[in-house]
Amino acid sequence: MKKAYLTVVYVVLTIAAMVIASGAPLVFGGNGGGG
Amino acid sequence: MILMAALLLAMVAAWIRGGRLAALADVDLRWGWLALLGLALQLGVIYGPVPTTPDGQSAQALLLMGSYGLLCVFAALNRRSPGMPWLAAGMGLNLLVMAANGGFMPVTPEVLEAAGLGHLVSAPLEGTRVPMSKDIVLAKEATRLWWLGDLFVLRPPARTAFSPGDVALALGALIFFHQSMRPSPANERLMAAETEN
Repeated sequence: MKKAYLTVVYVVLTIAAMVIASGAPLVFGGNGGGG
Repeated sequence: MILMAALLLAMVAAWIRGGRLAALADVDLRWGWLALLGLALQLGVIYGPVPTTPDGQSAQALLLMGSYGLLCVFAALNRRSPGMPWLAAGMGLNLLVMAANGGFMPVTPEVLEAAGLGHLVSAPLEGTRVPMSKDIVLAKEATRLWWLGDLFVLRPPARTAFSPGDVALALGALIFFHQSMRPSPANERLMAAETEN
């Protein structure tokens, strides 16, 4: 059960890393602040 | 931020269509640390200080390209995973336009202004790096493969611009979670048996 949980976390984190690192949107991790 | 939102939406959409997070335990992703290391390398470049010298800028471009190398190996090793062809295509398109423009994602001053992000650069001069991004300001006529750059704009309050490669990545995430969160027939039988007992 614990192993399955860890595998789910691993899969989600890995795909998230792949998508985020492959992407190149303008302003990476925020909305550019105010102004 | 927009890619994180796309990931979250992809997972929620798969869940609404009957998918289960637990089904992800059956997904066989190899060498996932390559993707995590690629992201870690990039965070240093994106959130670190913007270099003022050409040498500093070249070093950052080299790091970015190196991180994409790791992602390419990860995509090749997992090419049979659901959605991976779209993820690889999105990564490839972004890599192509970045490599063609000195290692950074090109964005025009017009797009920067339209997205409400003109304040991020003191003067949108040619070759100015945009903080907190992989972007560099380039005029359309000075950009190689401009049609692969950050050209789609979400105006305030969203304040962002993204590339065709980013669209392919979002689609790849949608396909990945849709197919991977679908319970396998074996799991469905197991769950049905548990419910009966």
